[in-house]
Amino acid sequence: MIPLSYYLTLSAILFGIGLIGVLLRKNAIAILFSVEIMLNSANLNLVAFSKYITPSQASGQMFALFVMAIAAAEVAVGLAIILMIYRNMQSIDLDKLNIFKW
Amino acid sequence: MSLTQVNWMALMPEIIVLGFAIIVLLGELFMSASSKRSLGIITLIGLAAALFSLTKLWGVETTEFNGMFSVDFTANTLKAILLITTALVVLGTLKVKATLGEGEFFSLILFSVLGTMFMASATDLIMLFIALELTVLPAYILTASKKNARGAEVALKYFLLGMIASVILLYGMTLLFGLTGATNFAAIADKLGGGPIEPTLIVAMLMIMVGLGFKVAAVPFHFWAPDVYEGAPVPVASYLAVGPKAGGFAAIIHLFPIALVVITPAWAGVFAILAVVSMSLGNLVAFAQTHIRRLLGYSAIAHTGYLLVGLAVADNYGYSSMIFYFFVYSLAALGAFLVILATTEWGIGEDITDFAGLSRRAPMLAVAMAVFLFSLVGLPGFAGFMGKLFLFSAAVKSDLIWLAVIGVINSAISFGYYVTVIRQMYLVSPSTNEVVSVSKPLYFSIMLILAAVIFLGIYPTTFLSIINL
Repeated sequence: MIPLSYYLTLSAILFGIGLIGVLLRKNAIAILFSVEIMLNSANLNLVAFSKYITPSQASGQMFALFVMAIAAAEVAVGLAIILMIYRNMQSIDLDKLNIFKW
Repeated sequence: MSLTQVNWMALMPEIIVLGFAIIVLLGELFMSASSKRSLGIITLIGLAAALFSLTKLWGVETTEFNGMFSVDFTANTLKAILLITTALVVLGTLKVKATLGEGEFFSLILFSVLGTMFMASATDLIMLFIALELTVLPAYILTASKKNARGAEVALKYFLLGMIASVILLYGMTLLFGLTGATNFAAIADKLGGGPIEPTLIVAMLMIMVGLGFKVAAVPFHFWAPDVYEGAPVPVASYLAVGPKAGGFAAIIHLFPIALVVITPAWAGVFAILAVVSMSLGNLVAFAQTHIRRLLGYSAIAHTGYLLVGLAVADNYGYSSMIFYFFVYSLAALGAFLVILATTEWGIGEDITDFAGLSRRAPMLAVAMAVFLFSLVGLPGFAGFMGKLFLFSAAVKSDLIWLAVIGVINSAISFGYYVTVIRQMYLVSPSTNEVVSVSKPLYFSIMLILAAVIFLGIYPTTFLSIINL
């Protein structure tokens, strides 16, 4: 069987990729995608821990299911806001959002 | 466990809020345009009913859903504070022209309140995460309700930063779950007790702190706060100043002292640092602000710093005084926002200089604003003073004298920028002498808060005996 540490390493790498994407990307959709990658790395953690540490319970897997549902809700709100940005400014480049100082 | 074993009475306040949220949402869909005006009153009735059913639970200590949902003293107090302040916001916005449909606006607020109430009661990682998302998702939509470029920009910033914080929080939670194999706070504490402290535990703690620190707008996770307070529609900003913040503090009070009790010195130390940084930076940057709501945004960051002192103390006295100060602060901040709502409704701008001569144009509004600002500074005789007194005395009792000293110095500094607003209102002559008139519910709401701030400042023992301080 594949050791737990492999899953955790993969999840940490995914989290890192997502975090770098969030910090470096300028496109709002790309940032949204990067956050999704981070969410899925957390899900991978949950499922792996559930399988290896508490094989008799399903609480980790349940947690992952809830996270998926919440991620879907977040994307719905996020895309609506991004659409509104596009209608107002004809661009979703974060560098052009400068009415307020960051 | 079957559903019949759940004591539904313990969840009655939440059930009422949920029911009214759905009723109000359906009302928006099916009611005629003229009768929609009553939706605000229905919302108020719902909040009052929830508050009433909460008083029935006063003193009850129980957990439901296999220990996921706890009814206890802290949760009840925070829920009561939340329901009262939200009711004041709703009362103030009854006659204000909404940026969304009335039903949408009020039901989103009710859903967000519901999330915050669950957050206050959550004693399980899964419940906490879902409740937190339920709190912030309606908040994102409310922030975006003004569909112009400014509103969109603020909403996107709030949304993206909020989501990143949530994900970091979630990752920290998964690490905690991996270390213990449990999601319940008490079970986590059981598993962690006795064993050696692993570095992963500290990483998990820090990640959870980043996530929750964002929700309460502690420096260095504060970037969203001034923008949202300035850019969101005023009624929304008044709700955001109190609602989601109550949830953040409720989650911190439950999660850290219960689940992470083995590493208390570690998180208390980090909270002490966050407290010092938040109050100092918040107060100093507030001096440079010319926009009144942005100024209140930085003042909110500074007050998060004061509140974190209660967590740095890390004992029951500290938590109780933190809850008291949170109530006092949210009243004063909410009052200030409602005064701003009243002036903007009359067409007055939001720069500090726009408040020139308000004492002649709207004497009662100016008095109220001055009292709220004095309470935020913590002048004796106003509620804020009693709050700070308890908070800093808690710090002194736990040998954190340096923290109390920094807090007092910061309060003194903060007087400088609040007084510029008061100076504009009283000493500068207005450009016109036109009298500002305010809609009756909004005026009534402001006067209620004014009475509460003065009453709690002179005679705090009533409230303190309720929260056992």
